Amino acid sequence: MRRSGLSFLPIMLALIALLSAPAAQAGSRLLATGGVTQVEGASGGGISPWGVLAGTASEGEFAATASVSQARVDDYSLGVAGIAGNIQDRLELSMARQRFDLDTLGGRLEQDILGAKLRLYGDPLYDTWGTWSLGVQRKRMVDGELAKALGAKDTAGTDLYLATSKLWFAAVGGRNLLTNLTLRSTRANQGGLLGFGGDQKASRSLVVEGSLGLMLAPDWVVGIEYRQKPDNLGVAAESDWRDIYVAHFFNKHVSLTGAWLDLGDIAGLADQQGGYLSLQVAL
Amino acid sequence: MTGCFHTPNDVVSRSRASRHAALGSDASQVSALRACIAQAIWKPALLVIGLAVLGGCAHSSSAPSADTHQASTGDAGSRAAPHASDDSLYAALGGKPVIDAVVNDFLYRIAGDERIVDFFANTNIDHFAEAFTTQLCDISDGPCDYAGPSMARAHQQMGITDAHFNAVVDHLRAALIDQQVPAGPRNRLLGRLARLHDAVMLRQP
Repeated sequence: MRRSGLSFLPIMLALIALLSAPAAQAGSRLLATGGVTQVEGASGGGISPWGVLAGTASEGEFAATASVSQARVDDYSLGVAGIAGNIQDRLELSMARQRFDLDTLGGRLEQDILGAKLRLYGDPLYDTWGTWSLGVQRKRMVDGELAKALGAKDTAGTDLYLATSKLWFAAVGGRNLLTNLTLRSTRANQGGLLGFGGDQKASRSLVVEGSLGLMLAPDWVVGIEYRQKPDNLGVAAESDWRDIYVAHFFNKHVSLTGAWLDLGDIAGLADQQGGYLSLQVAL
Repeated sequence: MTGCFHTPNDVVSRSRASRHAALGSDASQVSALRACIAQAIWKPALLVIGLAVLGGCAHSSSAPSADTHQASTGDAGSRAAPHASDDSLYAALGGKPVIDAVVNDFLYRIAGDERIVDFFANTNIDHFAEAFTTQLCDISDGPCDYAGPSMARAHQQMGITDAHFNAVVDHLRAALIDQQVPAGPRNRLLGRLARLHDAVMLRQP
């Protein structure tokens, strides 16, 4: 969160106000059923978009979320700021800016992501087959020189994904379990931070992402995530991502997520592990 | 033979739980039972015929309860075991005192929620409380048989949206938490009630 100190005070004041805000001003969906904000700005876990839409808006309601996230692994840091809107629990629109610092190699890469997620069917709580959503993420690097140097074909690309989420009541020790499965078509290298396509593979890959979230209490979720990734660049082998996370929902307006990340090899540096923190506010 | 003797047990347990609803069928079943017993006593010689009649009695006296059953949530388990066993969800919830307290707590929350309170404007709250208590008892395998209208019929054309449904679920969960129902039974109950969503939403405009 290397942002100017100026923006910090209003955020803190807003947080204090939201922490004490009455729940009636929030959407009607149950606490935590909108997940948190994943690194590309969509509602989900930390690294994978889920089938649910942002916030707690339901039929006839609207929600907006804003989030700041920070990951720090051995040789890199990633900061993400994102906003998302949810229209009647049908359509989610999101925008995110990623700032990727190459702490060891030196330099900074940035990427903008515009996202949309359409709920096709269902509800994670009430439907036997859960909820299903179709999403798109349009990604554009701010400066693609390094990615090009590593062998990337393009500096912009589009991910398409189908995600499903289902809550299983009293599934583990009487606690509710949220399961998510996402199928993504992508050309992105390291999510797009190292460009799109490469010398090894220029075309799209179909990858699978999955996560489990155990609701220890209505306001506490612990879980694991896994995200399969393409491996397009000859000089920069890419690994699948995984993490374990814990999220706390103070109320329908404020949530804080912490995670331990295992991102594997990134741009020639092996075994990148570290921590992740994400704060989301919702209206 | 078991048919005839099984029926009064059912009647007794049901009448204890939902006096209102079972009252009509009580009378008819009791008189059918009397006929059964009379036949069994006064025609001892015609044992085979008597048994056949008893079979017929059992069959006919169970007919009205089949109607009742159809109107209920369709949970066959509650009929097969009318008495709550110790390991039932009903027992885990805390039985009647806790369910009564949860329903009471829930109603206060509904009354304070402007999004949904209007749906209850023409509702007899005492009647609703009793029906809802019976339904929670029935759906948790307790010694009750919900005999009210189906969920689709009870909510038809009310203009209920998912937002209203969610709000009600939220209030019920809050009431269960406030009445100190442990997470396991609480989530099991919510899971069973979640399955009613489609029926409640079936006939909305």
